[in-house]
Amino acid sequence: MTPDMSFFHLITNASIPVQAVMLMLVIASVMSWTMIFKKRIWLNRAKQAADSFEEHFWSLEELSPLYHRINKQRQEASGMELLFEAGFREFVRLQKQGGVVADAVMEGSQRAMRVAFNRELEDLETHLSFLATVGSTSPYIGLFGTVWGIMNSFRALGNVQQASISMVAPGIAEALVATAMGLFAAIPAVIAYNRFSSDVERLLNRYDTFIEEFSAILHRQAHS
Amino acid sequence: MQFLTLRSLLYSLALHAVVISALVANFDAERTPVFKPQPQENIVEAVTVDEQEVEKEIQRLREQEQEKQRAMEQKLKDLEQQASAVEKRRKEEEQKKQAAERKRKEEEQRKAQAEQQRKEEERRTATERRRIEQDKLKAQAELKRIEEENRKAQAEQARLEQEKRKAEAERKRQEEEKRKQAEAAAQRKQLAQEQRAKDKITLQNIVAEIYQVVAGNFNKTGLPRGLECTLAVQTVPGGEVISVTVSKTSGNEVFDRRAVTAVEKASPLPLPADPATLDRLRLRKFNFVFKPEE
Repeated sequence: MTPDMSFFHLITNASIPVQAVMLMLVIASVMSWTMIFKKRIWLNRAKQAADSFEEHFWSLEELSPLYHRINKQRQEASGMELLFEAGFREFVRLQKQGGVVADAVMEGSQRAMRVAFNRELEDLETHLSFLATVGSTSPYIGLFGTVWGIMNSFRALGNVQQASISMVAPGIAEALVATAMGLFAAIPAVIAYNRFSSDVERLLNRYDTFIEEFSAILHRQAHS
Repeated sequence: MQFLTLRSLLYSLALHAVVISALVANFDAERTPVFKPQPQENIVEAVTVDEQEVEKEIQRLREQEQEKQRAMEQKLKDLEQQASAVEKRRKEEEQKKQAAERKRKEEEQRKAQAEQQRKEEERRTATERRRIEQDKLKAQAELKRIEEENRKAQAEQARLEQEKRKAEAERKRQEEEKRKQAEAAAQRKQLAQEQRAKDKITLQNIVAEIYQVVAGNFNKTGLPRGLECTLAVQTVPGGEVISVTVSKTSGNEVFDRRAVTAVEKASPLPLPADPATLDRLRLRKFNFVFKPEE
């Protein structure tokens, strides 16, 4: 008797807990890849938007036309545009009010930019924790499935009189599929997590720098 | 946002489908390695042998061997002879070569001499050519220098002319200026005269006014008539009187004192408010002759 060792057969022959583990891991892998693609596309867009905005910003002499243009845009401003819009709106509003000291105007506009920055940070960091979780727990889940499968095959081995390697081998192979799946899900997630967190960090640094530069410009205007 | 998620999910599913199908295909292709025994061939061939024939054969082989050795020795001798002949030939050859070498060296020496001569000749011609060229260069330089001098002289002339023109212009300008200055001076003089005339009238008016004010404040009861005194008055712009002193007494003490009082009372005096005018008319500090009318 030669046991069927095809991949499909291995999975369908596995015990229920092992199958459950495999299903979980497949779902985790699909979801983490979904996140990876989404995040990649999004980060690329944000980076491009920041590049083009910065180029535009530094080539202008007057700030108000830029502000009106952003205000008129159909979609909601994000990234540097959001920071710029928030800071400039507050600045103009406080200046129009009159009777506000230049330092207070500066403080108000900086506060507005800070708030926008925090909102942006929140947006950028969503889903990253999911990738981290998948990356760190998938191997353990897979290992659990494997241990369970091996346990079962040894238990079955104890019931027979003449034990041979061909009796345990299918069970162990089955069980090891779970570990393979766990690693399959975890490795890309860990790589993507590291990559994205450094990308997000860099983007946030750029935003921070932009806030400082823009504050300097506003400061000059407020005290002129 | 929703669209992005959906797109990413599709990418993810496609990736999984590809990777899993590749893995499965690989896995299934590799499974159940079968061990097949290979047919082997090792058949032994056996042969029977006769003892006598072997002996004969050995004898034959030995004779053959001896014969071969003899032939070999003969060949060796031949070869040695040949070698000595070759050696001899080689020596002759060498002698010939040496002679040729000597000849070649002589030839080379001759050639070297010829070469040297040729070089000497060349050097001579080169120096000659250089000398000529240098002369030519010198002549050109000289020509250039002369031209340069000519040019300089022309420039100098032009410069001189230019300067002359400038001096002329300067002279004219100065004359013009002088004329203008004179005109201005004349005008100023006229203006000053006019001003002086005007000032005179103004001063007369002011003095009359002051006199009137002071006389209005003067108490002449019980004083003899015909007295007159001079008072030194000091004022500030606005007409305020700072001090009044008697510079020339009338002889009557009471008259003098009353005149001083009258001026003090008349303060502020009707003087022009403008300090410049005040200065011009010298009214900051002035002598005032007081002589009450009958």
